[in-house]
Amino acid sequence: MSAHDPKRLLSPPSDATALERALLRQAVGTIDPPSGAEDAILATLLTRLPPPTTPPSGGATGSPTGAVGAKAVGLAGLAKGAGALVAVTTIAVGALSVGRGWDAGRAVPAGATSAAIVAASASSPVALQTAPPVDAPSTAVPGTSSETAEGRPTPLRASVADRANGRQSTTRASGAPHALAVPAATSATAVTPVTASKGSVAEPSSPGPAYPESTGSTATANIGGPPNASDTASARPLPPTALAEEAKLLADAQRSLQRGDASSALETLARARAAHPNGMLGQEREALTIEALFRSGQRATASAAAEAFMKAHPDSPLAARVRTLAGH
Amino acid sequence: MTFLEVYREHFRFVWRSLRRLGVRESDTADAVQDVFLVVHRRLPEFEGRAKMTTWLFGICTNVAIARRRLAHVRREISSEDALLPEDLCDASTDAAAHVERSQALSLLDHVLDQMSVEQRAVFVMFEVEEMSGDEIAELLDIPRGTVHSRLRLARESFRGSVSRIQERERFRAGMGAK
Repeated sequence: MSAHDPKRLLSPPSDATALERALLRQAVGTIDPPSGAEDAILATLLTRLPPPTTPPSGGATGSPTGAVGAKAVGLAGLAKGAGALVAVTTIAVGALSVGRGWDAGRAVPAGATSAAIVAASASSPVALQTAPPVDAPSTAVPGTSSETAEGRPTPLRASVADRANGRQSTTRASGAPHALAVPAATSATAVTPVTASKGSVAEPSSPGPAYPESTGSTATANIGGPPNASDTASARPLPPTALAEEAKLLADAQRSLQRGDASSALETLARARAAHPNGMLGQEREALTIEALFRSGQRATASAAAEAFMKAHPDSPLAARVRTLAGH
Repeated sequence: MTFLEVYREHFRFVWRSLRRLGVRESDTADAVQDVFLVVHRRLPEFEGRAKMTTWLFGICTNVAIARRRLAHVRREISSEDALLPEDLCDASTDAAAHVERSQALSLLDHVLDQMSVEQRAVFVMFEVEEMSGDEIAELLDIPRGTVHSRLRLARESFRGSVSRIQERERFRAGMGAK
């Protein structure tokens, strides 16, 4: 507090009444996000982003430190179905967390998420419900004219089926705030308590029907709300999207690394680079590539790739991880 | 910076800003999405003339104002229903205390809702988060005098609302005693 500032109401010398102080004390500590919110909101947010407006150039294909999708922030064809949410959840809890502290001994990156993954007992894989439509907020950016936010309102809970059909569902489960349901990777998906700690995630499926039509459980990434079985009744599985495929490739590469098979990881990452040169997860892919190069003993190539990465993305959250890998 | 970098780096700031601006905790996740949808669309135009946090806070402010207008996020208790939690200062950790705390937070929201979002943000930053006037001025990119002016108005609103609540409770208590 500077000398110019008045005394705070909670400071002992202030003339605040007991009730004023008590009320203000209630506010302390109430404005921080809950654990897991960042990842879960990102998962939903990504499904709402528009597709990219420019076609992929493919200019960096084949380069270990190639295109990292600096502007590739859209999601081509993302909102096409359940697969997207699996992928996005995987991204949120896995691949995107590269810079937050990997632990190669874990099934997923340490610190990747604390979003609780719970199981619901529905026979159909997916269904989320969205909040009733609301007026799009006026979202004028400072220095610009007033504008409207994206056409949709602001549901964290959104029907995958409705996304696919380009419409909104109309109901919201009462008393179940902000649950984000994603289909389980397989019918054997582990049921994890709602209080799951960091690292508890629903992994994408290995080969096979990723989104079972009529059997299997539904995993729900839940921010502070209980699963709602009624949320899991109506959606139909749809083909995975480009993002889902990209995320799966990265997850495969990551598992290869965890098994100690850096060569396989590099092969998978090369496939990811070729298939998604301007992919949403470009930086994550390159960071994985650098790690795989180091682990495979290609230290010179890895160092060069790390230098290029840090030069291209000095402020990236992944830069710290890359810097550590490179021994800086 | 890429969109994802902005998200990763500033998610917490955006969440906290929305809460400072009066967005209900239960609505904050949706409001965060609103903010980052705008960020996604406008990021290519962000030229760095302002600090990223200042730019983001401006977006948060507009989102908070818009959400405040929405009927379904209006406060759940009206001034007539705002009850003074008993023993507010001595809440313990049992279930009753949770209820009391919930009531207290609702009451606090009611009191803070009487302010403009700009005043509320300054008030929360100064009184709750204990930021200095200079820090707030830098964050919001406004003169320190404006910070103090908003704080003064916010305090007047806060103290006036609390006073009215206390008066009403005394009146109700008096009616009950008769």
